[in-house]
Amino acid sequence: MAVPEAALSARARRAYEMGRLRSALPAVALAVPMVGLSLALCDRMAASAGCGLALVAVLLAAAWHGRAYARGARAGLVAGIGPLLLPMATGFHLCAGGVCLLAPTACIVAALVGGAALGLHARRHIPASADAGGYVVTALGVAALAGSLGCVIAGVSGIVGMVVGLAIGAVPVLWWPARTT
Amino acid sequence: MDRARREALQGDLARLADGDRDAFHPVFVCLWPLLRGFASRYLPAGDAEDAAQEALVKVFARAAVFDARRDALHWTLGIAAYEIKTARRRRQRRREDGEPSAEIGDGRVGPEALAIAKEREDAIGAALALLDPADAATLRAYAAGDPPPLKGATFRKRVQRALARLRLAWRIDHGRP
Repeated sequence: MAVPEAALSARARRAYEMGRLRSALPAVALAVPMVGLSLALCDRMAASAGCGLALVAVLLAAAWHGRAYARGARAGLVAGIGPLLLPMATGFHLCAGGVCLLAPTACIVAALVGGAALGLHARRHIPASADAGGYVVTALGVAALAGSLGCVIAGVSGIVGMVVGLAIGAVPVLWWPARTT
Repeated sequence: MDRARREALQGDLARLADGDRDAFHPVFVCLWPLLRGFASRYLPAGDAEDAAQEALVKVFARAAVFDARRDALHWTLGIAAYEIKTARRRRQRRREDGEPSAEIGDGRVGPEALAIAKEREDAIGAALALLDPADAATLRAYAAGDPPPLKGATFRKRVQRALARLRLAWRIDHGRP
């Protein structure tokens, strides 16, 4: 049956948006084991669940929106693996049952490395454009949320240290070419 | 579809896959007439319109996972071909279930079928007009079952050559044999 072109266009647009949402699900699935690990090892259920939900929401929104936001979310997930796993490893092996000062340090070091790697990747692969800001903000946000799933083991100080570490690692690398050009 | 439009479709669909909503309208404007025309070559008017709409919606539903290294036109027509196949199967089932088809109840051919037959005859007539008059006369005599004016083998060879030229003319005009 013939339908007006405007109605068909609206139907096609809805199908497109739903398709984008479906295509965002694999990215969200990547966050599930991260959240599971945090819930199992960090012994702070509420904080882990909160960070996990926020991570899932940001990933879903970024992958659905696409473009620089989706690329930034992917890069942020990779950059967040260090701050996620390193504090867990130190807490698990060296500080089980006691106060652990190594975990906050691990958060900061892993975040510095992750932030610098993120900055270098953005410098090399993302051209300076209006989208570059979206890429960097999303990447840092996702890296911080993924990292906080691991750094929650060290409490609020661990999370704050990790966020500061990410910023200190990424910003100078991103800022450097702006100064030289 | 000419090369420039094909390249534009490739670029627009790649942008759409990346999430650039500005590419939606150009892709829609390019694909809708293309899919409608494609479906109408294999299905009667009503079914063709439905199949083209379904194909268009499916193309957009899958646009987010389109791989920009693939050929956009082939990818799109692949989806449309599947929809056409489904529509033809549905049509076949309807016919088997005894639902009304192009034929009217008293056995007379319906207006839709008549229009399709006329369209097909016109297309064949147009292709014949492109041929050499001798080839056209040979094919008309062959189609009418008239007694061959030449020896059997010679006439068969002439029919074979004329058919090859007709296929070529049809392919140029309609894109397929």
